[in-house]
Amino acid sequence: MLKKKNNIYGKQDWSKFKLRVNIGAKAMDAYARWITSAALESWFLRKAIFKDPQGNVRGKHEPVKPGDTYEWYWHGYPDTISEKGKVLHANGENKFGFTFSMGCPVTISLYTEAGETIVELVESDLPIDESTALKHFVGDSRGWIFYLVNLKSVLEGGLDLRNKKEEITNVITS
Amino acid sequence: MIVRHQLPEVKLTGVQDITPAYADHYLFTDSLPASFRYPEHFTALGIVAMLKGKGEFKINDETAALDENAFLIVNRGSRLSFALQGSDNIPVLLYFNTILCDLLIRAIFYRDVPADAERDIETYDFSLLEHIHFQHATLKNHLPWLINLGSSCSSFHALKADMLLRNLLDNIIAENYAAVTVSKNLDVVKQSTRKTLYKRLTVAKQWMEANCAAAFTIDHVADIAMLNTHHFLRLFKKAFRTTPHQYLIDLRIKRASNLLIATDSPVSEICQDVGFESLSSFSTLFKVRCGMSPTQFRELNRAQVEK
Repeated sequence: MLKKKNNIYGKQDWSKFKLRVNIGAKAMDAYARWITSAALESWFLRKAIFKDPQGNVRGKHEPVKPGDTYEWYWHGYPDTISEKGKVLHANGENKFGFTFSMGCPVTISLYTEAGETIVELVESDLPIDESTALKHFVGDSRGWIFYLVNLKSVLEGGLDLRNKKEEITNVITS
Repeated sequence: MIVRHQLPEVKLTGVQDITPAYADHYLFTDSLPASFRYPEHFTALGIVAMLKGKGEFKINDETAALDENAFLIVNRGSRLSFALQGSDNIPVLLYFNTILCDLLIRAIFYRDVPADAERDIETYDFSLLEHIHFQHATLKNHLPWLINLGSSCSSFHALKADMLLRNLLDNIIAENYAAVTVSKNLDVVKQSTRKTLYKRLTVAKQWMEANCAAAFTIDHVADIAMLNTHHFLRLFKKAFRTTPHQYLIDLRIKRASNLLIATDSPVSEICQDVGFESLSSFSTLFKVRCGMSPTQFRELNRAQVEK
């Protein structure tokens, strides 16, 4: 196991990472981009399916709730590549959370700094065994960096930067 | 998972069983020269295939010739070596994360079973699947994606590769469960005999699937299974609960159904394409299995698509 401190990779906690992006939009608008299938499909996913605990599929514009499960599909990839997880938080205002890669919790917090909205993403409980720690830490953080930038671009009225073509592979945009 | 360009370390195989453990999925692929030989090593549960070229693979004491249209599933702890033929060879060796395999088996078969309860050892043993499989669509699509993701700068590339691998592993575990169940239909007490018979029947069954449109005799299929015809017929029915002849008809009718939906070819042409010699016997068999004539079947499916 990698220790959190003074291991061969230096003083680095490999079990979690935090990413922040400043966005020129209202916090509520940024929050809204996380909590419905339609909103997630506008900047993050090709297809998002949320189900309530009884297994009923939520409407495209229906806000998700804690306890819901999800199936996520990405642009540029076939349906065989899908991530399944669970919604952990959705407080209707500034906090949204879900399980992600290997069931790791991801928490999104929104707050204001110098007149802009900060979207803060924390992914924690990442595996820290020597053979896979780097893979999860680097792979997941690199993925989120692109998508948070795309969220900023879309919310600020810019381009949707995602690659949507399956024939284009090995690019950071999908 | 990342793509490796170095084959797994060769350990002295000798007589001892040294099953390697992989903490992450191991995917090797590289272009190798024609005369390349890889000495015997112990495998984890995985898949061996040729993306390009041909190779002779020795798994335990059996030899299998692989090209782009076939692949091998290898059991954990098996002995594998290979020699490549021709030029421009790209072999693929995929070994699954050992811990994940065990966790999935436990989650699928022993979810509600106490940790110390006795388990059917056969759910952890994949030797029934350890034979040549003809390349099916899922694997054909998965491998290039996996290789691409394994050395990619794409977002969440490791996560996406893991999703594909999980999908493959789920399929293999389900197929193994089905194989164990079917093999038990044979009512053969000695496990090694049961495995040998099951593998022979499966190779023959898969050969029928790949060649169902061709004209062949049951004697020929029995030869593929290396069993005498009478013995083959009896065992096939015992294992798969249908005769080889009925199974062949099912395969041909299924293929005809797909062609009726996907093409505009005349029924008489489809009848010949799928291996029937007589249009009337094709129509009769189709009606018995699908409840309507081929033409009605086509019209009904088209109407449903238009809706």
